[in-house]
Amino acid sequence: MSVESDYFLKMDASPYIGEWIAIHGEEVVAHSRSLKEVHREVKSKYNVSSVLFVPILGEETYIL
Amino acid sequence: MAITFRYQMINGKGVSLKRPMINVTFSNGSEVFKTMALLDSGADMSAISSDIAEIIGIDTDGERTTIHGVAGKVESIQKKVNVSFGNEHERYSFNIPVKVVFTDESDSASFIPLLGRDGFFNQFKITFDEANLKFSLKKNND
Repeated sequence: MSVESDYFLKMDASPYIGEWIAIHGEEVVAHSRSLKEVHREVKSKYNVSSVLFVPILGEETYIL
Repeated sequence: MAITFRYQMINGKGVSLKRPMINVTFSNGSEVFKTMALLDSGADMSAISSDIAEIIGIDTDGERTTIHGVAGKVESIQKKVNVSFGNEHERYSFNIPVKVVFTDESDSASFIPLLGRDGFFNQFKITFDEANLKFSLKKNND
């Protein structure tokens, strides 16, 4: 696991439901419904290999 | 040795959802994408959205096929991608077949990357400990 994934496991993700978030260290550094937009924003500021991108699924039950 | 993970929980607003997700890196050459992926024993194959595929430079041209899920059907194309995961003691890296699922850009967060049976589950003994909110993966032939 990484600092970013550990942070994700303990953070309150509910404000971001339906969006992609980008986590660097212990901080959400970008969020949007568009992954490409989040990725573009992050790429201009960070090394993307050190950033965790996570889709925040809704509170609904998922049957995949 | 087995790697044990905790279920991912969505916290807040009284919501208590738990999902078996792991931190993975999808890559294609030098392009990498770190994300959380859901272990899905009901998925015949792993799957990623088309925007992830484009970010890591996978060519999404070609003949599309329809794949079916409980909620309906979507268009996809089959490709291969490198996936790696692990912890400080063990790390695994594989080239696996994936279905690249074509999603609407504004709704792609509703599609989480899936790790399915062909190419992923068949490499591990996977144990879900629902009562204790843990799951573990042990590489076959270890």
